[in-house]
This record gives sequence, C-alpha cells and structure tokens, in this order.
Amino acid sequence: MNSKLNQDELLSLFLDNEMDHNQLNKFLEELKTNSTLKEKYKTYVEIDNAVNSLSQMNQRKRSNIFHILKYRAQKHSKIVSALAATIILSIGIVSTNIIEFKSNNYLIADAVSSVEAQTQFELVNDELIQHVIYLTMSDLAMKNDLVNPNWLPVGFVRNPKKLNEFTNGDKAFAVHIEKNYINLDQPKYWVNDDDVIYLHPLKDGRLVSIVGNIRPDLANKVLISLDK
Amino acid sequence: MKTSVDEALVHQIKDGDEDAFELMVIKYRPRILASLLRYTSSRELSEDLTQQTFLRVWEKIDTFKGNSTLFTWIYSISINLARNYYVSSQGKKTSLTDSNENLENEVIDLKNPENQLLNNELLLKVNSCLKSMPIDLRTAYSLRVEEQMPYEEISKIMNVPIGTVRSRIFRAREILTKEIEGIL
Repeated sequence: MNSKLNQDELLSLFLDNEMDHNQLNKFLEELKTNSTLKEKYKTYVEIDNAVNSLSQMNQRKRSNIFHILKYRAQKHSKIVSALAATIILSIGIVSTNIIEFKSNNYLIADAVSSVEAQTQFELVNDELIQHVIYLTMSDLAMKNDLVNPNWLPVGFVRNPKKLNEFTNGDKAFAVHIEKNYINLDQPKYWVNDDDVIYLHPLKDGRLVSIVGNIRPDLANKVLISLDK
Repeated sequence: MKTSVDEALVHQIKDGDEDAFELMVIKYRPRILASLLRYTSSRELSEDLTQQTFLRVWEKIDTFKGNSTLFTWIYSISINLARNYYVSSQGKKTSLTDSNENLENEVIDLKNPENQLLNNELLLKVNSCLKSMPIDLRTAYSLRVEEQMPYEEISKIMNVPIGTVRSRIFRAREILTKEIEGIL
C-alpha cells in the first residue's frame, strides 16, 4: 500500500510511527540527506506541536474555570456571582432559563420559548463558550483589553480597580474589547435573570463583550457608542 | 511489523550518527523549549538550557536503556539542568523573572495561555485552520496528534479503512502547512 506514496505522505507516516522496520530505515536515510524533505519535517513537527499546545490550553482552561469561577464568586460582585452560575449551567447545556439569541442588529429580542432556547443553545460552538469563559477571567482579559481608557458611558462611573467595569450604583457591567479572534460574525447574547452576556462584532474587526445586569437598551447605547 | 522512530534514532545515535541526532533534535527541541519556558519564564535561559540538554543527550545517549520514552528521558535531563541552574543562581541572588521590564512582560505572557494564544501567530493560524477544516480530516488528525492513537484504532473509531485514515491525516497536515506558509 505504501509503495505508491510520495515523500510527504511517507513523512506523515514517519511522524506517526506507522512505518515497518525496512521502510523506516530507508526513509530515515532519505530524510538525512534530502534538505527539502527535512524542512517539511520541521514544519510538520511545528504544526503537531502547535496543535498539542492548543489542546493543552483548552484543557487547562476547562479544568481551571470552575476554580476561577468559585474564587471570583466568593471574592467579587453580584455580577460575577450571577455570571458564574450562568457559565456553569451553560457548559452543561442543561438549563432552559439560559437563552441564546441571534440578532442581525443591536436590538435584543424578547425571550424565546424554553424549547427553542434549548435547541439554540446546542448550536453554540465550543469556541464561543471558551470566549465567554475567558471573559470571566477578567484579570487576564484586562491585559488584552482595547477599551479606550477615556471612554465612559453617561451616568456611570468607572471602577478604579477594574478599569473596564462601570456602575451607576444600581446597575453594573464590564466591557471587554479585543480582536475578533473567534470570527464571530453576528451578535449573540445570553440572558440569565437580570444578567446579560452580550457579544457584538464591530466593523473594524474587534469584538465587544458586555457582561452585567444592564438593560438591553443601555447595552445598545454602549455598543453604538463603541462602534463609532 | 512497525518499528518506533525513536528506537531507530537512538540506535543510530548510539553509533555516532550525527544526522540521526539532528532529526531527533528537530523532533523534540520545540517541546523541550516549551517545557523550559514554562519552568523558567525566561526565553533566553530556556534556549540556553535547551542547548545544554541536547548536548547532554548526545554525551549520555549510551545510558538510555529505553525504560521510559525518549522524550521523558530528555525532559528529565532538561528539568535537572534547570533545577541545577536555579540552585547555583540562588547564591548569586539573581532573579531572572524580575530582572527587567521586557522579561516581566514575557513572564506574564508565559503564565497566561490565553495571551500566548492571542499573541502567537502560528497558534492563531493553526487554530483558525483547524476550525474550518473538514470534520473528517480534523477528527482523524486530532485523534492521532492529540490523543496519540495509532491508525488502526482511529480506523475502528471512524469506521473507515486504515488507508483512509492515513490519507485524512496527511491531507490535514498539508492544509495546515499551506495555512502557515511564511510564518515559520
């Protein structure tokens, strides 16, 4: 079967330990002297390592998240606590009171039925969930935050300890902006009681995330202001 | 019967084959460097320790008996070298993690996998490419590379012939190679 394979295909077999003794020794000799093949070998090794790194990052993120959420829920505000509950439930995809919507504009739709919500929620991709989890790690997220430090929503004050968090005493929310590395092309949001996680791609390739207990109309204003 | 690439490489390296040694370095250097980066939080030191590690591997290859995997053996050498470095540097009261601002920034990055993801162009490209790859290719490739499954096992899981598994994994690698052209 393998006799008709080209050098690159053989290289793939070599990397995967799928060669027999004779084939392996013959290929090793070729690999030692063929500089083009050696370069390809380096590339394949780098790619395999990158994939493994990504896999490990995702595993770490998943294993750490429950600890982080617990810690933050104990340590910080009502928002974080509510958010923690939201995320934990959303990972399990079991709750009918957590609703994901799709919208083609800033307007946030009314709640849909629980059956539809359940169906919608199953469509949420893994990457999106990871991004929302990432948002809860706001200490980390802050380091990549592109929120203009001079930007301040009307009627709100900035949390001096967390510069991307805003409150007016009654309502509080956090804004996070970064490159749209998850390639979200439509706004999405989750609602859990009074709390909302709202993700919106901007025209310039950035992604705005808002988490907190703000009303949809205020979330709209925030997004319009940021998208200017 | 299949033969392990590492077994073949070790056998040849023990015979003094420098080309075989180079192939082994290409295979394991990135992983050793990444491990040391996590351990030391310093790129310069990690590069240095990686070099020392493979020098030690070349010198000590005759003592490798195959009781562990080759990577585990190399890894233990690298960690011992790192530990020795820190023991000896404690007396000099040097701290590599707070010596300057750039290094400090690097430390922050290294301790934060998400920052690594955001800042590493290779990882970004690979991640994006994997997401858009046909599911059959991605599954076969992931089972092999992330789960370390042999082709035979993958063929059972995916219910396809081994030749199809081989082809899918190769095609996945080719797609990824094309995607990262110009980065490496």
